[in-house]
Amino acid sequence: MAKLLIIEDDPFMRSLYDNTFSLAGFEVVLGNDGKSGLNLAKVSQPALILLDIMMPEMSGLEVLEQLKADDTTKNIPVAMLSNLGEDENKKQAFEKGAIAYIVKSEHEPAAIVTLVNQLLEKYHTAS
Amino acid sequence: MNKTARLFVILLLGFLLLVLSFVYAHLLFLWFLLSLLLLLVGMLLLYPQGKTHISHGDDLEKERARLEAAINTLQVGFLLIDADHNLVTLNARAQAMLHVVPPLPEEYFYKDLPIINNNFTMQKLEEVFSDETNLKGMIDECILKKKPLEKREVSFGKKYFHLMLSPIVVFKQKPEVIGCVLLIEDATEARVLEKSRDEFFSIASHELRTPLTAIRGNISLIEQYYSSTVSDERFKHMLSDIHISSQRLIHIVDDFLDSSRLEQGRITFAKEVVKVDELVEVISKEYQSVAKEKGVTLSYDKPKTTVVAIGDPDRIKQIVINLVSNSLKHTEKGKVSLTVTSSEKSVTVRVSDTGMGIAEEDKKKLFTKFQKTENHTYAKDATNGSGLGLYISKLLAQGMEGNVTLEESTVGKGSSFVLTLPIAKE
Repeated sequence: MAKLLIIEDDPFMRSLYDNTFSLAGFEVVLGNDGKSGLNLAKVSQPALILLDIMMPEMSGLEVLEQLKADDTTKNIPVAMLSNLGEDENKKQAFEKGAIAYIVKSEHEPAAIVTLVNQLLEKYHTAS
Repeated sequence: MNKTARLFVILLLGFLLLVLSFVYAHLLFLWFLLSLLLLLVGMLLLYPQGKTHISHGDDLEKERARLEAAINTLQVGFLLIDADHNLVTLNARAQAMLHVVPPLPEEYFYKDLPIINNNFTMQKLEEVFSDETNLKGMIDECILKKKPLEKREVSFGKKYFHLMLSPIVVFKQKPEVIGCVLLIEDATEARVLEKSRDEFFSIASHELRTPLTAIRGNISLIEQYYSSTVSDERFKHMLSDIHISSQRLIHIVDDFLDSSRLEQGRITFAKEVVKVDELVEVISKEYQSVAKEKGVTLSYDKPKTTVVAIGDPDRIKQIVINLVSNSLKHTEKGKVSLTVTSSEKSVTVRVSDTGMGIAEEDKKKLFTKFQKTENHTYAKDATNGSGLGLYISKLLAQGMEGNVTLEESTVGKGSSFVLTLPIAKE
């Protein structure tokens, strides 16, 4: 099963998505903040990164910028997974290279698994 | 003028009579008296006229002082520029805003500052604004096109100004522009407010939704993966209640945020060609299970040809879902039927039901915020409790140049809601 990196600072959210994807059979790698997330992306080379936006010190958008600026991580597809739902947030994320923007509260865990599966399929077909 | 002319004629007559009385000495003394009388009357009548001439100057002076004071006490910067790009007038507020004079107490400006500062020329005015603002270009355009212009959020140091230019047109044989007025408004505070409102939305949505998402998500996972381990039916029921309640709470938070965003024009609408017939078909299929559970028929009469509208597909979907779930909720038996039709200008999605219907006195309350109808809380139930469903749907439709209306409703027989959208021309 595919390897996912989830970069999420909120412990409750982290454990929710860890459970969601582990139970669905994914291999899950967890990053607690932007800095550790960047390192884990390089080391673990996941099939997809799920990236939160509102995080202390380094926001998800900054992490996204750095992921896209680094040769070793720039080809890993990144989907934003945030509860910020303003159009402006989405626009910025897509401009910086995100392939999807998932608003957490809009989907039940099972629906997010479906979305991630679709993204993985699309990404693999494209590449 | 006529009065003055008449008076001159009287004076002239008096004078002639006087001359005649001297030339013809044999004329009666009465003539002499008469001429003197005429002269006296004329002078008396002219006197107040003369006085008016003198006071006219005073009035002009007064009028000028009044205008100057009015311009100087304006809470916006006021600048008058003539057609040759000379700065004619610069009020106190403008001088303070543009740092022409050092900061001084407000009273000083209003009372004493002349409305022109010879040290501050048009060239300097253009220089204080950035090249990006291109004030000269704006003035040229305003004078040339004889049209008002405005530019928002022009940065000036740490401040933000709102510039408004208006041509001064005089009508001789034809309209002629003799210059323009530039008004400068300090929009810094408004911008700060706007920014904090932005932050409120981000924080409110984030902080409220995050714990709610955790509650709903975990319950959802428990139900999905561990329901077989729960044998107690009461326990299962409790879990289900938590799940449904958390869903409702998330809906309410989303509705609050959506309505606020809509009211403030903060939602952007995509302008795409949307196949409405297909979109409605998808929703109809999605809601079959809900209808079946209630024992209500949900039918969709799909048109034979594709019906396309201009709008935002996600928003259209949101509106149709709201109308369909509304109807399903208020229909205990019978059916909910969906139709999609088009006319020359618009596309119509009609959601009709055989439900409880809406009383006459409740109809006008339907689309207002938080209004519950007397009979049954129609609007309230529509969105699982926020009372904003139809209000949001209407605002969303209007944002796409469409509308949501109640077409007809009879208590006990049912209702028919209609969404209209502009048609896409092929």
